[in-house]
Amino acid sequence: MIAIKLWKETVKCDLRGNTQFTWNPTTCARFYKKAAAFVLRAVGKHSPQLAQAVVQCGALESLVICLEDFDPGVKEAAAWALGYIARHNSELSQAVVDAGAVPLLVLCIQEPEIALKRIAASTLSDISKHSPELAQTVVDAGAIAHLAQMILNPDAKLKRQVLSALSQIAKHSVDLAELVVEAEIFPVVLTCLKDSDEYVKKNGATLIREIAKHTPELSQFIVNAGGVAAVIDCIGSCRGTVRLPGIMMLGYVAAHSENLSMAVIVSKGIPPLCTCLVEEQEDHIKAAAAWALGQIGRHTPEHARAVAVANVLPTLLSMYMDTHSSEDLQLKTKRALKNILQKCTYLPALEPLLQDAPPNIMKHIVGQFSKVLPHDSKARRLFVTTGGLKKVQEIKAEPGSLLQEYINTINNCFPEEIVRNFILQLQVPILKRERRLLFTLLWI
Amino acid sequence: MNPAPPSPGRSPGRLRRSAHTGPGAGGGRAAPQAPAGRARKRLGPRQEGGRHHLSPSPAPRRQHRAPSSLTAPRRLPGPSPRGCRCRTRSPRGAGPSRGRPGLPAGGAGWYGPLPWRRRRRAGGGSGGSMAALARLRARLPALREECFRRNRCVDEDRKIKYKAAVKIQSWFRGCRVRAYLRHLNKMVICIQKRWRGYQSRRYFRKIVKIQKRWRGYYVRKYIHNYYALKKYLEAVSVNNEIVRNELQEYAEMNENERKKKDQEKKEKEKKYQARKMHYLLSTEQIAGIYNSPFRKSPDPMELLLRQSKPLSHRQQQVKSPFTDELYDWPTCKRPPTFHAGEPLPPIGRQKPQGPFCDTAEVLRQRYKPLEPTLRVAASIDSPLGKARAEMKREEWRNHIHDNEFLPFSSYHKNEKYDPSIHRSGKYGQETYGIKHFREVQPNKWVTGKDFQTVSPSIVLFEKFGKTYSRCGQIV
Repeated sequence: MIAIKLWKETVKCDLRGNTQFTWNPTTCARFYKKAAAFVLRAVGKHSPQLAQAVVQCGALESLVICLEDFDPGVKEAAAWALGYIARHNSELSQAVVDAGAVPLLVLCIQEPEIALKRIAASTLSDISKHSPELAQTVVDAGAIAHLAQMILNPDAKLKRQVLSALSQIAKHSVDLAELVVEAEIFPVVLTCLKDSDEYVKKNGATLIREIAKHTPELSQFIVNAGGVAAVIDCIGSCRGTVRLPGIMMLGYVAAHSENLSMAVIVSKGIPPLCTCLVEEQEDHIKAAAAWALGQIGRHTPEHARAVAVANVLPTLLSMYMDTHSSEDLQLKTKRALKNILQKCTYLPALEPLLQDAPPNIMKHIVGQFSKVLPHDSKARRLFVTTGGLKKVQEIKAEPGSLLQEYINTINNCFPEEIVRNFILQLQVPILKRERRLLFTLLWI
Repeated sequence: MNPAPPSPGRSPGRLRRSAHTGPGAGGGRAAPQAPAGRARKRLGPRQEGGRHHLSPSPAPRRQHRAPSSLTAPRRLPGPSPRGCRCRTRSPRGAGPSRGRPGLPAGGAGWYGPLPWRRRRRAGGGSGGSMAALARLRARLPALREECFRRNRCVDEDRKIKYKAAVKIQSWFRGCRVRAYLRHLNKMVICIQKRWRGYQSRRYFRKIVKIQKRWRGYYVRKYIHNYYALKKYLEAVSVNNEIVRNELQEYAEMNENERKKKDQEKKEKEKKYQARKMHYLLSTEQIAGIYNSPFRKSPDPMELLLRQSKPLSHRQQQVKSPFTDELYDWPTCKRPPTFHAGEPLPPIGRQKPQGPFCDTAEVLRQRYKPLEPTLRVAASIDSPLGKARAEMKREEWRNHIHDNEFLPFSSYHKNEKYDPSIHRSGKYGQETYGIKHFREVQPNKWVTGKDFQTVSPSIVLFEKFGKTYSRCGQIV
C-alpha cells in the first residue's frame, strides 16, 4: 500500500508536470506518461475502493489531459485506465464523466489506430452500462454514429467492444434503443452474427436482444429485417454460454404479441430451442430455453400446438421433476409448462404427460382433456384406445377439488359401462372374454 | 281518595316547592330554594296554610287539570302513615305553630282531620281561635295578592309549558312524516330503477345486434385479419430465407478469405525456408535430400529450392523486449529511457500550513530550464567560420613545434646564436667537454708509472685511456 502511495505521488506530480514537456520532442515524456497510466490502471482495476482512492488523489484530470496527447500510446493507456476505473460502479463512472472524458473518448474512437479504437469503445461501454443518464451522456457526445460505422470493421476484437458498447447503451430505455436503431445498424449487425469469433456473435445477439426487449414495435422491426432468422442460425451454430443472449432474444420477441410469436415459429425457431434444452448442461441456459418456449407457446392453441408437436413437453416435465435441477430451472419449466398446457389442445402430445405428472401439472392436463373431449368424438376414441381413460381413472383426486371436477367431466363423455369397466379393472382383473365384450359395447 | 297522577300541565312551582320541602323536612324551609332561572317566593308555612285556606276559589280552575294537584306534592315526601295528606305536614309543623283556619266544608275537602291542629287547639280554647281569625283576616289582602301572584306564575308556567309541549309534538310529528317520506322515496327509486333497467335492456338488445355485426366485421378486417397475417408470415419466411442466404454467402466469403490468408502465410513460410536452405539444392554430382534417385520425380521442395534465390545474411533484427504481450504496447518500439528532468519532491511531506504555493510548482519555477530564443540559441559564428576554426585547431594539434618552416637562409641571417646552457660558462666557454673530458692533475701523482695489474682486470676498464684519441693522453 505504501508502494502504491509512492507511485501515486510520483504519478500525480509527473503527469501534471509532464504536460509542459509535450512541446519538446527531445524529452521522452510519453513513456513516462504511459507507465504512470499503466500504474493507475493496475491499481484501479481490482476493487471499487482502490479505484475511489485513485480518483481521490486527482488522477482523473491528469488522465483526461493525457487523452488529449498526440501520442496514441498515451491516449490508449489513459483510456484504458479510465475504463477500468469506470467499470466498478456508477459513482465512479459519474466521476469519470464529470472529468470530461466522454468527448475525448469519442474523438479517440475516430483515430486510425485499431488498439486505440478498441480501448476507447470498451471504455465507453463501461461508462454507459451503469445508468440511463450516463448512457445519455455518451449518446449526447455523438458516440452512436461512430460506433455504428465501426461495426463494418474486420477486426474481431474491435467489433466485440463496439457491439458491447451499443448494447449497453440500448439496454436502458426505449428512447436509447430507438436511437441506436436509427443509426441504421440493421441489417449490418446480422453479419456479425455470422462472424467466426464467438464473442462477436454473442455481443451481436446481446445487442439485438437489448433492442428487442423494449417494445413490440422494435421487435417487429427486427423481425421484418430478418433478425430472427439470423439469431436462430446463430443459436444453431454455437455452443455454451454464447447461445444465451440469442435464446433470450427469441423469448422477448415471442413474449410481446402472438403475431410475433407466430413469426418466430414460422422462422423455424422451435427446433433449435429444443436442442438447446436437451443438449446444454448448464441450468441457466436450460432455464432460458424453457422460458423462451413458454413465451412462444402461451398465446393461442395454434402456438401451443406448434410447441407441443416438437415433442418438448415431456422434456420440460422431466426437467421439472428432476431433483438435480436448480430452483430457477424448476420454476421456469413449471411456468412454461403451465402456460403451454393452458392453451394446448393437441391431445396426442398431452397423453404421454398423464403418466408421471405431479398433481399441480396434472390438473392442467386433465383440464385440457376435459375441455376437448366433450366435443370431439374421434379424440374420445383415441383417448380410450391409447389407454388415456385408464390413466385418468388411476388419478387420485380429492372430492370437490378442481381435478375431480375435470375427471368427472371426462367420465361423463363416455358411456357408463366403459368407465365402470376401467374402475373395476383397477380393482379386479377381468377375464379376457368379458373385456372383449365390453369393448364391443363401446363401438356400438 | 287516590291522588290523581301528576299531569304535565301542573304548575311546576308546586313540584318544586314540594320537592324542596320534602328533603327539607325538619325546618329547612326557611332557606329559599328557588329554581334556577325563576325566582319563586318561598311561602312560609303560614302562606302555605293560607293557600290551603284559599283553596276553594282557585280550586275550580285547578280542578280541570289536577284536582289532586294539591295532594301530589304532599305525597312526594313520603307516604303518610295514616293515609292522610295532612300528616306529611306534621314533621314540618314542628317549627312555628301554624294557625289553621277552619277548613272549607266543600271544595278540596280532602283534608282530613288535622290532629296537630286539634292538639294545638286543645291548648288555646275559643279565645285563641278568635285571635287567630283576626290575625288571618289581617293577612287577607296579602294573601290575596299572594294568591294572585301565584296564579299568575302558574299561568305563565302553563303558557310556557304549553308552548314547549306544542314544540315537542310538532317536532316529533315532523320526524315521523319525514321518515315516511324517506321510505316512500326509497320505494319509488327502487321501482323506477327496475323499470328503467328493463326498458333499456329491451332497447339494448336491439342495439347489440347491430354492434355485434359491426364489430365482428371490423375486427376481422382490420385487427385480426387472418389473411393479412398469413401473408405477413409468408413474407417473413421469404425474407428470412433471403437473409439466411445472404448471411451464408457472407460467411462463406469470410471463410474463403481466411483460408486464403492462411494459405498465403504458409506459402510465404515455405518460400522463406527454401531461401534459407538453398544449399540443399541438388547438384549434377550429388543429389540433394529432396531429390532422391529412387523417386520418380523430385520433391516439390526441390523444385522450390531451384526457384528460390539464396538468402543473404543480414543483420538479425534485434528482438524488441516488447514482442511478448506482457506489455501490450504496440506503438512502443524502443525500450523506454527514463529522463529525470527535475528532482522529485519528498514523499509524504504534509503541506505546510500557511499561504504557501504548491511545492511542485515552486520547484518547477525554480528549476525551470532556460528557454532561449532562436536568435540567442544560434551561435555568432557562421558555420563556415566554425569549420575553419576547427581545421586550424586540428593543424595546431598535429604540429611538433610551433616554428614555422622558413625555406631560405636569408631568413636566418640576423639570428644570433644562443649557446646551450651546458657550454656557456660564466667567463666564456668552458673547455670541459670540448678540450678535455676528465680532470687529470699530474703534479699530484706519486710516481710516473701506471698501476700494475695484478688481478685480471675488467675488460671494459682495460680499454680506459686506450680507446680514446690522443687527446685523452693516457696511452
